[in-house]
Amino acid sequence: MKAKKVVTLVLAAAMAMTASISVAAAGTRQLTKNNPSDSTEVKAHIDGATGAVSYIIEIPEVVDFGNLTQPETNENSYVFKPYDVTAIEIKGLAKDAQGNATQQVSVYVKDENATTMSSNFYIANTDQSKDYKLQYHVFDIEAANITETTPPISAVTMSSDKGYFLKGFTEQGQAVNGTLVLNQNQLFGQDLQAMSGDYSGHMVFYSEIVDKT
Amino acid sequence: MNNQAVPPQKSPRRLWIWLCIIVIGLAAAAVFFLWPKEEPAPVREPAKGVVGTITDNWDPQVSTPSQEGDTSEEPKKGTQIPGYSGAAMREGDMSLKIRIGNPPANHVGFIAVLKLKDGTVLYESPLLYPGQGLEEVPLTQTLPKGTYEALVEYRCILLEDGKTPLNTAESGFTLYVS
Repeated sequence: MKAKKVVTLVLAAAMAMTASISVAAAGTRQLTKNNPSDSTEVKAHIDGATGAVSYIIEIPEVVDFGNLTQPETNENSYVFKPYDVTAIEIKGLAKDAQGNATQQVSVYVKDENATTMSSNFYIANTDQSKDYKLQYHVFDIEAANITETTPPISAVTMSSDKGYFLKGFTEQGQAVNGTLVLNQNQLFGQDLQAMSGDYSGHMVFYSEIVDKT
Repeated sequence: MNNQAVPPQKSPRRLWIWLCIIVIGLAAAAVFFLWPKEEPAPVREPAKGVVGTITDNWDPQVSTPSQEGDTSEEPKKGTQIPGYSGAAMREGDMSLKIRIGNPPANHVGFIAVLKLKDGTVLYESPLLYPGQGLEEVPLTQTLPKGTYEALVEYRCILLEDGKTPLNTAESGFTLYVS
């Protein structure tokens, strides 16, 4: 009889323990007489990092100065070629309470072979047996606004491997209407036969969304 | 006189032993299920059927899809390059959801290279014609948890010969691995 009572008590205790296990699951808290209130944090997350396309910019396909001419005198002889970089579409940039964009699509440009130590823009003879290259300059303004003293974007040191900062776009439709300038004076006094051939060079445009400073 | 046999009484000691075993077992079960565990990072197989699949009707879809059969009379201008704000994946993933492609308005081919700022190449596409692209790319390696500077390098190629390089673009973004 006594043993039966003991068995009954032990089984009751075991059942109570099981009940407490199923109720107090991991990650939950119980409201009890001694703890009648508690708080629960409600979280939400808006994930902007979805891998979707956020913007489209348009860059020039090639650098093409056409046929170059050797000047007869040792004077400047410039060739101007316009180029455009355009924000075709932009969406999702952060804005302040007044609706002004607090982010921008920053665009940089550099020569394909540029480093922070050697950052000029060049076109080179496509015949690899002819080791000749010609320097050109990049301006972020139209040719009509360029004078002898107007500095190109490469007038300063290229401090970032992204390239020279060109423009920060905040709205679609914005554009850089710039100019590439090559001084044919580089051909003066040179052996044209040795230098003859096609020349080509490539620009690398880097873009990213950043907070406006 | 009562001649009925008296049934033998069960040993209380044996009963106590069984009860102790039951109680200890329940206690062990409670510890096992309630003790917090650190789950190992799972290695996930890439999603079947989508990863690495190049579609022929890819559109950037930044705002509205491009009209099919664009009849614009505007002359050919430049090359359109897609850009990104960010992308995310989980530790152990061997694929990344990112919309890499060649906008249908272009007249050049793309070779798209997904890589980290330190030069680690995660994916390189074959030649993508205008209108071709991917929704999810297979990765050459997975990445541990963290935030990475990444970019998609779009190497533009002359379509007439399929090999002459043109100007290049790089679209930088932040890659989150959780």
